[in-house]
Amino acid sequence: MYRYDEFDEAFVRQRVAEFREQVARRLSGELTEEQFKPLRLMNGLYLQLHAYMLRVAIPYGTLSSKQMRRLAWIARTYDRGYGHFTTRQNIQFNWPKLGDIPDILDSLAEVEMHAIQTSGNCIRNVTADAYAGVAADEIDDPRVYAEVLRQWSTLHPEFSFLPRKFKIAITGSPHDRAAIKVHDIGLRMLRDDSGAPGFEVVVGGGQGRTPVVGETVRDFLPSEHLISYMEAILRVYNLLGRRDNLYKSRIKILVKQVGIEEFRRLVEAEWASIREGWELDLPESEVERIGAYFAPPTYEPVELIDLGFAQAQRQDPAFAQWVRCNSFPHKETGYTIAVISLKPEGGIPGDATAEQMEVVADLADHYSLGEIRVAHEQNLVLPNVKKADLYAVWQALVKAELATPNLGLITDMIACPGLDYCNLANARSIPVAQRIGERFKDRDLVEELGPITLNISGCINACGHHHVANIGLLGVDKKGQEFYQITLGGRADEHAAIGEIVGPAFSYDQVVDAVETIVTTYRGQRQSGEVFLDTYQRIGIQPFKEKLYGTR
Amino acid sequence: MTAQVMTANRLDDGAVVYLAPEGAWSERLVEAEVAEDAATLHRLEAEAERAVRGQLVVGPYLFTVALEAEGPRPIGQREIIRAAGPSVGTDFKVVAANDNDRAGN
Amino acid sequence: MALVKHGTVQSDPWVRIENDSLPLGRPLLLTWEEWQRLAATLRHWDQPLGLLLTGSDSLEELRPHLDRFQLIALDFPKFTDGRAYSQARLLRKRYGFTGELRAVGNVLQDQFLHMHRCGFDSYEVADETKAEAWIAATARYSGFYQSAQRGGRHDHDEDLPPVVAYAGEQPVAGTWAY
Repeated sequence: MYRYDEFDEAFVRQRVAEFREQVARRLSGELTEEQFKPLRLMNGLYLQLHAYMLRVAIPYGTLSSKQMRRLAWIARTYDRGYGHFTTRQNIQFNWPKLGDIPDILDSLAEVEMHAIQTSGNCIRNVTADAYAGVAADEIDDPRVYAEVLRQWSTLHPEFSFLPRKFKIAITGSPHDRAAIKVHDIGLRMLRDDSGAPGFEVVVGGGQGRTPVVGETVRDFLPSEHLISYMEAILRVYNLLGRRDNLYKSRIKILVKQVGIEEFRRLVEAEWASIREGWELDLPESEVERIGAYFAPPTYEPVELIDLGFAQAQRQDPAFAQWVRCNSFPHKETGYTIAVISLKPEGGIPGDATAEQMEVVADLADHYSLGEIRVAHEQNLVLPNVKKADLYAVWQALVKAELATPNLGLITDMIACPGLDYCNLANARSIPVAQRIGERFKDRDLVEELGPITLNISGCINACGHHHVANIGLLGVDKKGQEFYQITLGGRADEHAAIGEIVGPAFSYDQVVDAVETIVTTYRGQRQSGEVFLDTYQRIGIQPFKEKLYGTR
Repeated sequence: MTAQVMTANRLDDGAVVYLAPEGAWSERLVEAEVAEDAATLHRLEAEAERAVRGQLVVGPYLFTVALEAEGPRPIGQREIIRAAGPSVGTDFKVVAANDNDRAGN
Repeated sequence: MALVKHGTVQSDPWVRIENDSLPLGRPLLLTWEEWQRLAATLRHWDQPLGLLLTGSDSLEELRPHLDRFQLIALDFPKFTDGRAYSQARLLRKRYGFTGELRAVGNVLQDQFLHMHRCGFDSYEVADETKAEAWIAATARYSGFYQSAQRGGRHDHDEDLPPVVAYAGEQPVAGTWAY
């Protein structure tokens, strides 16, 4: 993991001191709410339905056990004993008081954390593949460049008042687990013919009220030019992006408006000027300095065939199911990536109590080299678990109610906080997720259904990623009543697609039945070996429409 | 006109508050002053404006209520949830606006 | 209004065209449109000229005329409109503008640092107390992440201008190098 040196340490402390003064100026009345709002947002502080909400950055989803314990302590000390992990790999606290925020930030700074740029019209916390550095299918470790981007974008003087927020995601695997095609900039690491590292640069993706799958602006960007190329894209956007209409201000609208060809020309021209003018290339020494923090740990050599692990699975079918569902191949023999689902049936997607956070921190210390990841699907990951230890890990997780075997399955839902917490929401998300979890609590059935992504957003801002779910639910308000529009066929991976609206929205009471009808239709039509998307792509949306609305 | 209540979030902790008689801000909707005529409405608006300038509350607005024996009741889902707390079925919601002893106060 | 420059409040000698008449003997601040209209008339103008730009004015068109101007004022119609940061940086770093670069419009103290780092060196602000705020804002950080920032992580940019001390304060940032 990256570790702060004196520079990072001093910088984050100075940022907290600055914000402490801004909070004092707000409380004294020197700053109006209108003036304070953009300042607090740049430190991740929202005013939500019932209270303030603080969004703490977890850069590219990587946490140490020490940091996780501190999050638990903050949840207990300043909040109501829990936190909410988000689709941007961050954590949100739902009940802090304004006057406590500077102290919370100081406490975070002690463990090398902050809330810088987790909101506002700036470059947001960079997200990455949650399995970065350990996945068996990885080409390159994206964390080094994610950290470079974090540093480059932090308090960037030119790009802190962009037309709108700006999200960058990066993956080092051909299979995209970071949803890079629905980000303002998506970076996919690859190597050229000579083996030199670089990036495919995707631009203009996004969700919200205008969902767009990003387009490739550059097939291969040598990695040393990452910063200058990012500056070129951001400068073109900062100068030309629309500022007259909030809903048309994201870079995706600019790209659509001028077309990808023209956008590419603008960026390449700006990039050429940057490169002939002043040096912005990444110094190799800096990449090496940062890269050293991400050097692979020393893995203990393990027995190639671990009989105990196989035996535990034979004897304990619940463990076997969890292993089938919640582990992912590690690049190191004898190790595995263990995913801790934060989606218990009937639970709140992404929420963890302080006690659960501490259990995960302890498990990370004992079994995962002290490291934890946050996945954008709102789950936690122990990235370095020996297969031989997995049974012990699972038993501890069962005790903490953290062993739901549903990774990638229908109950592994992404849900935004919705109308229960959020000021922008039109409808509730969490209770719908809870009811769907209750409906699909037969774990064998859920596994048998195979991979299905089901995501729920409480409004068109799409924080719940409903556009890119196989089954997407969007909450809408109809005369003060909650309704849910359903989309089918979306996906967030390397074949990213926006779901298609199946028909008129369903009421709060009807929507769970509608989801079941969709699942039943799929089961009825499914051919051997198919997953939901295969069946959907083969039969199309019509059979689902007929079952949901009858033949007309 | 429909019966209306003035609400806002408290600057200090963001809590949902309702404008009660004599310029007090209460966490309990039942204590809110209900405006049923234009004169009261304007008085509530002026009072809210004063509270904004005095760093007491943020973002005040009026919303429609139904009048019942126990007092004003919110109609829209948003105000129902603001009044009652999150409906997510855990013990987080016990510390809702109708609880005098709000945690953290 | 007050003009803050180098951490002190200074008087502002610049004047605008009023009622279509040119004020003699004073530095003259023109909009881009006025300059295009009056460039020929002002060929032998012996007072300093300044240019007031909006976020949508083209810097490329301005480039050939740049050495006629001792001051460029960039407008922040709202403090959330960040185009002038890019314009400032381009003027300094790409076009080599060395005159006074002034922030006008909705210029708030919480943005001083960003403006300073992008190359602004004077600020039209609400009142005189902002001079102290400017000194505090520019002294707060001991360094920055972005490359070429003196005192920051990367110290490899050799062509930084000399650091100028303002009003006895120790500046931390390169004057406009960012």
